[in-house]
Amino acid sequence: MSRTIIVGGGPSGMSAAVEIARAGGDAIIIDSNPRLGGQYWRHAPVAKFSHDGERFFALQEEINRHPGIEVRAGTQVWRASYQEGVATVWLNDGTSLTSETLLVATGAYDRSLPFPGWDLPGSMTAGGAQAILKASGALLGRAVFVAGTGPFLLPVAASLVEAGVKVLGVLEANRVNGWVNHLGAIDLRKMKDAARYFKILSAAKVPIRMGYAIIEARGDGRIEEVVIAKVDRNFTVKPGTVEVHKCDAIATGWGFTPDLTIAHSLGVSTDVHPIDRSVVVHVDAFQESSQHGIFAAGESTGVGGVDLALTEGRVAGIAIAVQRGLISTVEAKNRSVGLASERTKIRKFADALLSVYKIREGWRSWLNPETILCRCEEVTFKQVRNVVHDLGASDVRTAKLLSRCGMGMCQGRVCGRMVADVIGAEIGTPATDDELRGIHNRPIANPISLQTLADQGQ
Amino acid sequence: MKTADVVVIGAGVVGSSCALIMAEAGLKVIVVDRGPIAGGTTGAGEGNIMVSDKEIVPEIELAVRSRNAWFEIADRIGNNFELQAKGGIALSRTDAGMAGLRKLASHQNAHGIETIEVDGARLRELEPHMNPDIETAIHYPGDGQCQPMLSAAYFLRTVRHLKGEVWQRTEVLGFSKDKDGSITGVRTSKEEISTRYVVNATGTWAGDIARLAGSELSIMPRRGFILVTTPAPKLIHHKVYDADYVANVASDSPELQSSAVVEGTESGTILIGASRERIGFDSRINMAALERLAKQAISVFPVLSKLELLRVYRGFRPYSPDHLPVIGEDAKVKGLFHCAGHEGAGIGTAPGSGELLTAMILGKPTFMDATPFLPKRFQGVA
Ligand SMILES: Cc1cc2nc3c(=O)[nH]c(=O)nc-3n(C[C@H](O)[C@H](O)[C@H](O)COP(=O)(O)OP(=O)(O)OC[C@H]3O[C@@H](n4cnc5c(N)ncnc54)[C@H](O)[C@@H]3O)c2cc1C
Ligand SMILES: Cc1cc2nc3c(=O)[nH]c(=O)nc-3n(C[C@H](O)[C@H](O)[C@H](O)COP(=O)(O)OP(=O)(O)OC[C@H]3O[C@@H](n4cnc5c(N)ncnc54)[C@H](O)[C@@H]3O)c2cc1C
Repeated sequence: MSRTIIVGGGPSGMSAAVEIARAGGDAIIIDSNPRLGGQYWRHAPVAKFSHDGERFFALQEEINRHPGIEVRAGTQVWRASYQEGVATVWLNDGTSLTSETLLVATGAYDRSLPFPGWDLPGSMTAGGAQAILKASGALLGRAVFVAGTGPFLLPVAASLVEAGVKVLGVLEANRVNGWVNHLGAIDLRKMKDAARYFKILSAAKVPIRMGYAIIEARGDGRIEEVVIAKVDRNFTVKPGTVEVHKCDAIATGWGFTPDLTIAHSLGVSTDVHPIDRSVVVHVDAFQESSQHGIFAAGESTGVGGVDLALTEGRVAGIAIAVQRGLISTVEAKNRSVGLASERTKIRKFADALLSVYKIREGWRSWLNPETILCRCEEVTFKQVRNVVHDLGASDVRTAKLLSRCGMGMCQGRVCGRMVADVIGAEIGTPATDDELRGIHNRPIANPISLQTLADQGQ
Repeated sequence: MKTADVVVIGAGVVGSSCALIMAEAGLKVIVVDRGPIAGGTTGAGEGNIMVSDKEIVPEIELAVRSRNAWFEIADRIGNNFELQAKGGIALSRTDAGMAGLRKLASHQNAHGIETIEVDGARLRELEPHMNPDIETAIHYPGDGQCQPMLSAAYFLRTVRHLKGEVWQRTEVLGFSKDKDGSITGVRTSKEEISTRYVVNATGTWAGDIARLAGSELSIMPRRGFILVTTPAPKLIHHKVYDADYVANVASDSPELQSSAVVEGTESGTILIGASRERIGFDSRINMAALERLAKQAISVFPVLSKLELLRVYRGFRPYSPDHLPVIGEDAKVKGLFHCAGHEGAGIGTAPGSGELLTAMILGKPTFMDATPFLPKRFQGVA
């Protein structure tokens, strides 16, 4: 059997690799980032973490120590296929790999909601802001609002503060009572984390406002001010609550969309999550998908945070070792002690968070006709309405193709889900499960140089 | 029960062209499609309106009329579908290939297609980025381009404004006939429509509708891939293809054939089409086809090596046994008119096909002798 292919070197991919190595197996981790770590441990060339660095260094050290684990960082999988029990991935360095076992550990990307001005320079996703900060520190000295919904707004705001950025406020659109208690109810580590973030934010006198949202950004060529407002439980603006504030930049986060591009190409069955309707890989207790030999772990099976990603990665790594005949099922049981219950516990907690931090439908009332929905192709809300109401587009795909919404460079990663929701609302029937699955249908997962493609046949 | 003068089955470019021209002629039209508008082959291909790749006289006549009809439609209903008269360039780097191209050009010229042989210097003016090893080519000012899905959608919008109707997501379940076997109605999953005329514009699936009506028709799928690059500033001004392409179109062999047709679009992406394979409705990606297209395109435009592949389109061209479209009344079922099997030319030749069909239904003279397109050639009737 050939070595296991691991697509994604975030927490789940790393922990799976370590389990495979411990079982005496070999694997190759492919990640488009220049370094291991994924979203959570994204870092500059010299890794330095304000917290939780120990787990990263331990994993990295073990991966480096095992000669059987190769890390191919800075490399993208641009296409994947699965036929007769064998997975093939094509890499943007012009090579391809095949294996009977493959782990999808592709994580998630930020979910965005549009509002007038969200396309101005200075507007970033929460994840993007953190990445920019870590890569270049370019936000230093700026005055920033952090807004959206979800537990990750806090760590993002805290790390901005720590880096010397002036955070003008954290706006959480949902009304979350006793945030700390809620987070801490299940997980001690999370409680400690949250307490730490609050300490950092309150020391810096950063106001945290519940039930508030950024509904517009303005500026001449880049963000100069934002309009914020109180929103009701459905995210509709409460009359008379509008405020205007000067700022240099904004970081907005609305949770995550699992990245199913590679999974979809491999033909695995997917589920539509009952709470947030995100598409996730359907896996069994061993993290194996509907395709024999194809496993999935981390955010690709549902958004759940770093601890869940680490746990699922371990389960998958051990199961792959069994499938490859590296260890017995008895041995696997010994190595898996506590993992299954840990996974159940965190998953439950994650689902609770998803329910609390849901995106409510009223956000669409922030749009005006000229608001850009698709930034790559500069398609406005009005244009999308037009293809539905004037041209008769009656489903998500047709509306996309006629308006070019989601057809640009990012292939709908930024706007795909949101546009599906907008189109569904305009048509009058919400996007179907299959339409939501269709968002992840990208046979070309990432752009590939034509020259590299041409040379492949030689 | 609903009544219509004509029911058009299929909301692709062919069905919507037929519907547009019939609605403009004053007929009450209902278009029925089991899917969304332009959800078939029309939503999966390029929008070349080509006169340059036509060889057989009836095809040339249909293509030339259609090309002009495209621009007339744009004048009538507004050009909302990116219609452009950008012109084509056919080239070959072998003497034999160029000899073949010249011969074809003079034949086409005799049948009304403008052709201009250009030398290297002129070629560089037309296409500055073209490989310098290409020294001569044929320029076809008549080749055009449109955005097929938008075209179908705007045609159907006009049909609705002319009191026609478009029923999406409506399955055709069967046909009602009178005692002579003539069509009297169409049974659909929505409701029955009383009509004397049905247009079968279901492309690759036209055989199914023929069977449902008690006749037969052989239309088969021919798979094609198109590469779509990341957007770039305008690099390519015409639709440029090497002569192998023309040879491929006419060929009868099932295995992979390809010859790059390179063109820029209004959105900045560059399209590189198209491969041709006859392997049924197999939707998997054939890497060899993609590699070959990339290689051929770069050999014509070396600058493309710097661009990236963003997307791949995959579609199935509807083709008939003799590779000519099937346009006209069914030999067995009165009132059933087919308009299908346009293969790799259905965008370009849709308006002319619609005009032929409308004239046939109204019993008016057709702009050309349509005998070579009549379905009876495959239906065992002389
Ligand atoms: C700003 C921010 C703050 C966060 N804070 C916290 C926190 O405080 N606590 C917490 O629990 N969680 C936090 N999270 C979430 C945490 O980052 C994720 O739960 C975790 O990283 C998921 O791990 P993963 O292995 O599933 O995926 P990821 O870490 O997302 O890794 C996936 C990797 O796959 C790679 N990849 C994907 N597709 C391809 C391809 N085609 N080719 C090559 N490589 C590919 C990506 O480049 C990426 O490196 C935060 C996330 C963000 C964005
Ligand atoms: C890769 C590729 C590139 C191409 N490039 C070009 C080009 O550059 N220039 C050009 O001229 N042509 C090109 N073509 C060919 C062109 O796309 C087709 O000839 C044309 O789209 C056919 O249109 P149509 O309306 O006949 O079929 P379709 O667009 O397939 O429409 C048929 C419709 O019928 C409906 N239907 C089917 N069965 C039923 C039923 N039982 N009941 C109700 N509705 C039904 C379908 O849902 C569909 O919407 C290309 C094709 C491909 C695949």
